[in-house]
Amino acid sequence: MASQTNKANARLRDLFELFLQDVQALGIFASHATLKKEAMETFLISRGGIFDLALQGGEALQGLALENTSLPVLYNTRHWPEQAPLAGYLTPDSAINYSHVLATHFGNWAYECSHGPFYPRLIRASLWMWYKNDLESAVQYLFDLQKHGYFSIDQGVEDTIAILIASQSLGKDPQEIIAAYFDGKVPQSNTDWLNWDIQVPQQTFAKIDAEAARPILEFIIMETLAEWEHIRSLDDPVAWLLRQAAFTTRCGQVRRLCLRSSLEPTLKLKSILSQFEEIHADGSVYLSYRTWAKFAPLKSPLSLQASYMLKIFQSQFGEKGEERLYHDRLIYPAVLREPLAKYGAKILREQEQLFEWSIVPPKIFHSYAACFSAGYPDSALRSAYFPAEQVAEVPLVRQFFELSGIQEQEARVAILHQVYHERLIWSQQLDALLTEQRKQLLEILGIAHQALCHEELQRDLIAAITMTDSGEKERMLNHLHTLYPWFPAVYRELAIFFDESGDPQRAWDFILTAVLLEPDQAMNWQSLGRILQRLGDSTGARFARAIKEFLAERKQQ
Amino acid sequence: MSRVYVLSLQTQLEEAVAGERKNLSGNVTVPEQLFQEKNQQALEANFPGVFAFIGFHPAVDKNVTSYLQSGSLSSDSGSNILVLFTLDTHATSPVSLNARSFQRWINLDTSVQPSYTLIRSMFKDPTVLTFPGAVFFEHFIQSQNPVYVPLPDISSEDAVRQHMRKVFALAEKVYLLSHKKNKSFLDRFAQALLAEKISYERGGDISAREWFVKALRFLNERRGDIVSIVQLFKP
Repeated sequence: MASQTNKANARLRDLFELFLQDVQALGIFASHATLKKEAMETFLISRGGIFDLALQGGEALQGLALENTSLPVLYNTRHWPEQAPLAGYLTPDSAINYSHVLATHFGNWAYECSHGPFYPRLIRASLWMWYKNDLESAVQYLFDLQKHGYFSIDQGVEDTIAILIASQSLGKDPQEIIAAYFDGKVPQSNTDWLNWDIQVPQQTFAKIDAEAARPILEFIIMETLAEWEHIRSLDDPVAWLLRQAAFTTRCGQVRRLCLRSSLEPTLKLKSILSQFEEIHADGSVYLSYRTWAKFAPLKSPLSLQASYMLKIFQSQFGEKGEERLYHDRLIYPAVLREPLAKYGAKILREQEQLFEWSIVPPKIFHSYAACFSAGYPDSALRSAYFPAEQVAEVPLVRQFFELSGIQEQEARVAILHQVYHERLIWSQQLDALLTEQRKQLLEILGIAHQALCHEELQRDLIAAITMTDSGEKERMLNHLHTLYPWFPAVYRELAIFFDESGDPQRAWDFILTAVLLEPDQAMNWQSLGRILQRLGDSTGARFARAIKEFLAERKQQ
Repeated sequence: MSRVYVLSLQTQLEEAVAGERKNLSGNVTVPEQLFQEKNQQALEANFPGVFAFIGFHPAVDKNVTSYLQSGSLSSDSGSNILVLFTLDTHATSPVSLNARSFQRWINLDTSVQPSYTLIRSMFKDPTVLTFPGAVFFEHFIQSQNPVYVPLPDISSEDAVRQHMRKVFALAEKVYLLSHKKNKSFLDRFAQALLAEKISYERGGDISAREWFVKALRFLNERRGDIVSIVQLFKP
């Protein structure tokens, strides 16, 4: 019985870890673009509520607990275990669970949206880490919080580190330094730490003393270099994307922290800081998505950057170009070197086993899209454009061309290649269009593309569901999966297909993605329950059914 | 043991000549362009001291290898000597030294060991050289007669360290004196070695620019690099 419970928990833990990852992703991506209050609210309403409900339910009914001891934890004032430490890393006896961690994330972001960086919490938690361990641990902890998406504004982490470095002059030992923040006294209990007023001493805003800064800055740089080496070795598209996104932020922070001190860098450090500057600048790819047209396929930042950076480096440095791009930057991981060097970035789309690297990963689509996508929250996005000829036939588009006096099919297709496919082809007719008309065309193309997507999805999904030939059905669903990799129903149908084909193991990953993409859809939980049952996890199945019932009832109300 | 990072000489040279110019490929350039006359001032300003290049075989001279891996080289050599050595991988971004470092060339014969080959190329009669050792030179661009100092005792890592420290301390002292008097370093260094009864060999009149370009290209072809240990801030 005990082993059965563990097994059940292992399955649900997969799901809970993915919920947590999605939440962490929002914080990481938000560091690249000011998180808009509306985007955060949409995320919290459509996803946060149901995540929280499921996690609290799982904890209460299943006794499901966090296990990852490398996870940094941070207090919040809404939902935090009484005896738990306010900061540090997860320990088996801390009673900190998924819902507590979630409450901290949501609380931090809400604060940041209204007030900017959450200095009181950052400083309190890092002082605690300093007091319980040392300054290096406190700094490492702050970077770990950032890596796990606890904060949406990177300025807070950077300033707090600068304050900590400067705080070394406040006393001869950690006790004296901490006391300087709490009116001359050192907090004795958790309650003291959480409740005493904190005052940042004025001296910490003075220029950082060079000699005091040296060891800690050296530690920060060395740890950053180690992180850089580590990220290159990652071979999972989601893990890679999240760590790389957080690292580009960190590179900017570390560089600025070095420049804030009056220490003179060696030529080697200058070289390294220049590379950090480049890597930080590469992070601007994330924000560039905001300017994309609504119909543009959501290529992964990796695929986007690799395609043009490889061309630049190879044209400038020949066959050594790839070598330099790989080593000097952090555009793609070691695992992709060989195919990218040989075939360029197009191989990511062409080879089935590399396809996942070519698109924004579905398991963190909502976080990504909430931060960057112009078309959010529509998830019926196509991973490729429709042919220009097909788009030209959409009544709205046809009408536009007629009213603009562009009658020939060839001219219409040429314009669509440039505006819709975003290819750089000169077209006399496009040149003749006024700016206002171009804007109008973009709008129309957004509507036309969306209409074509919904039409295609509905038609092909129904055809696939009703298909009786199993081989053909699988082919149709896989085709849809490649074309619409962010659409939840496609994953649900794939899960149902494999479940009914007697392969619940394979169904599991599909249903997990469906639930992540659309956590408030009762049908996803129903299928999840059925698959869990088939996998021999009846308690997990009961839990999934309970969520399904709740969602179905909520919908009726 | 704390982590030791090394960085390619090429990256450092690129940084030295880059100035404020930045483009999509960062500072990256090709070795030939680094040593153009227009860069002479920038190179001299950024590399004001002298250079030492270590010739060693990762297996035959294994105590030299462990000395390099230990990372004490940078503190042993002081701030006016840039100590360079070969690495069996690219290091245009920082690479940490570990037990696997240098292993790719472990089975190469001494006749084709890259660092030996590069030092031999500085001498008209390379048969006089005994390895391991370190070759000293003082400019990037001008012609010069490098000074090669063999390591007489490599029976232990500590013996290597002691001898290196002695030679580096002497080089530092000579450099500071010659720098003050605006005199050439290499002749004075050779005299000082003679006075200290430390054996050495003088190389032929070589163009450092040519040697560097060839050396960087030679290692590039072998997927290796010329590196030095990363120190972060000036003392």
